[in-house]
Amino acid sequence: MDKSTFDFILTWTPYLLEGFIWNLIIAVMAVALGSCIGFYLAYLRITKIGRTKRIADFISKFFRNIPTLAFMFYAAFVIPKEITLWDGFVVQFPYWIKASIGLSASSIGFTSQSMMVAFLAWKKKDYKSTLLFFPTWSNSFIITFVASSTASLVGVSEIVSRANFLIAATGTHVMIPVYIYSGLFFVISSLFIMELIKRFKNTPFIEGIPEKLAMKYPQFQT
Amino acid sequence: MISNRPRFFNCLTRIFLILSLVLGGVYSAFAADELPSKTLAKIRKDGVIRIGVKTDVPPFNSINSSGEIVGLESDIAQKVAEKLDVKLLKVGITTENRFQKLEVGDVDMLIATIGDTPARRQIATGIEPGYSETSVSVLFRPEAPLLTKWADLRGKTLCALQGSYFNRPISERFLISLQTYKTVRDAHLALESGKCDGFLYTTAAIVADLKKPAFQGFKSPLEPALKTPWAIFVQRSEKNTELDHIVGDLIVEMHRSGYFLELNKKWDVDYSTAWLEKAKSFWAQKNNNQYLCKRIESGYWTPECREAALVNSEEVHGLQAIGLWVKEQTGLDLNFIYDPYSRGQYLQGLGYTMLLIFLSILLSIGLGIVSAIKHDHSSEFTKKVISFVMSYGRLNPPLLLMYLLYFGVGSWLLSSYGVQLPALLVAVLILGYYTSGLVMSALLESAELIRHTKSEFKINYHNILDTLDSSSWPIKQALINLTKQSMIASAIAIPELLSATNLVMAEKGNVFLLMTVLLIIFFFITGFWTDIVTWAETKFHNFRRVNHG
Repeated sequence: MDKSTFDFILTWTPYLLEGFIWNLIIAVMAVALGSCIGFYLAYLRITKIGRTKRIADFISKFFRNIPTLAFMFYAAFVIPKEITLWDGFVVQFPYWIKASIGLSASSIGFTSQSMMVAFLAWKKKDYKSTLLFFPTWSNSFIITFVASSTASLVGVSEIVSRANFLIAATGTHVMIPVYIYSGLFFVISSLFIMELIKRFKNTPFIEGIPEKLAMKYPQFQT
Repeated sequence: MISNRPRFFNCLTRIFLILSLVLGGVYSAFAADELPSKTLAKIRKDGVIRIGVKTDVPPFNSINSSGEIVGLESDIAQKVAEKLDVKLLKVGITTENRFQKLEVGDVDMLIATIGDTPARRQIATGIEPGYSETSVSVLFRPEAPLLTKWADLRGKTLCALQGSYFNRPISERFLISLQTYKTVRDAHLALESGKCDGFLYTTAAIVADLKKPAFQGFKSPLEPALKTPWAIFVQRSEKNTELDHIVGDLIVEMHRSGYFLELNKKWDVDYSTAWLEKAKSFWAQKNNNQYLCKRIESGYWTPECREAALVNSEEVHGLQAIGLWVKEQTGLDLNFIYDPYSRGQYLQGLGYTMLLIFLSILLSIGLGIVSAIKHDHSSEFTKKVISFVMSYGRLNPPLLLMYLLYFGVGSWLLSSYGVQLPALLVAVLILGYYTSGLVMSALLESAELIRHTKSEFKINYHNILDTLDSSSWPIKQALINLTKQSMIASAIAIPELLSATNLVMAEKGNVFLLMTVLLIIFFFITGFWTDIVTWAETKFHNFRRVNHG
């Protein structure tokens, strides 16, 4: 890389970084939303029987089977730009919210499924397998985080769309460095997040969770 | 442990059921004899035909210095009068009053730059086929970045005119915000002062603008959208009558003889020339010395020769009739099933998606196994390198890597070596690379577990199946994820299912339905591949059991 390319990238780093913060916001929103819904679905699948359980099973499978990009496009095209709830109170749906909603889909499916698997292991008092929930869940977080780049396809000004904008505005000679540089944002922060989760996962607090649950809800383990 | 019996035959049954519901069923035929025409009787009685024409749209029709109405459409009107062997009387009309004048009988016919749309068919009869084409384009300032696809306009703002019929479909289909102005002049000013990114207007007007000195350097690089034929209109009650047939036959003759192309040359119109050339060869197609496009018993042209949007269920048979009937009854436009063109695109999309998934699965498993074996037999340093390379692929957004390889490396290869990098190859490589990292770590973790009991264990091509016990679940998850990721390939213009959906949507505007169908189809696609992978997993387990006791 020659000096001018380096300078160019340095000049535009704040611009790209700002886009990357949108990726983080979208991913965190999506995982928070998806985990809550997924958790509730798993709860229904565990505690309910009959029709409720079957519906919850189906919804989980539905979200597990459909690409997040399809959901994202669906949200972008089908959710209106704003909804007027009552006089003067308007809920806006900017593209980044739509992208988060679309992206939450895979998180819903993932959380619901790994909660089920963890619950079944916990029921058999196989606490080692129960704890596999955390790496699986953090894996799904990384997948969602990396997938947040597709939000550019529905018009969110995140890092990939900014990279494309930079390339369109300044010419193709910066294309390869800009794409590689933008990718590094993801690689480095993913490695960082994975390291954090790894440390957190091995704390006595986390490792003690299955036993604590077993004391609190013994009725489920019979 | 493997209790999950393969269910993909089940899945096939489901797909088959849906298809047979749609494909099978009613076969309806409605025949109609040629009806007498009231208008034609009157024209013949009077010995004169009164045709409504525009007077302010050069070169199609305008008033010359001696006060005569002349233009491309006047020439067509003349031909119609000659064909009917009557005198021609041209009547000046405007955009607002033309259909009223037709309805009350002030004019017998309209040849007045009218786009033939389903909405207009509600109030009058457009004679098929059309004699030219109208469409929508975008005019850009000279300094605007060069956009080549409508999809690139997503999220941008365009200037437009209030009340244009194409504003809504365009803004909905391409997610564009519009600033609508009252007049063309206002819109031009707004464009010049940078209030909007471009000006959305009819192609004919934009092409005419570009020829003016005031618009030097302006450009209109997008492929015109919402293409609609310009048609001659008669009263609604004249549908499928003798008049409709005589004029329709005349237009077809003029397409076949190249008369419209001559007219374009004469009046210096060039934007519709490509459409006319296509129409000429289309209507001239023959099979065993017979024209392929001809009138069938019902009096209409062969359905394949008509604009799908203008056909309704009583005029066709079979699949198309069912599709259109559903549309007329429920408003659900299943054009990707009944319209042969959209259906072709949709099926191609499905085929590409399946091919892409299949090849990517093969590559991910292959590359995952090779790298896991290599990793297990390497020095600490090489191990680190392999791990880094593989996790780079896993943590880098596949979309970015696709852009990098397709546009970055692709254009370098093209300029340096003249090698064209196929998009499908790029997508398979990137998706395979992305997923093989997951496959590799699943295999390595499994090997690590085996080492708890057999400390000498190292993965090789012979014992790879031994790792299956604990690696099959994460590998399966990775492959399911791959199936879902395949959709990203639409970003590099692979005509897979999402691209096909977007294309069909842009033409017909049935957004909600098509997006819902896309979700449902992908639900089955993922289910299908999950079943295939589960089936393969069972086979491998059985193979292992047989061979290792």
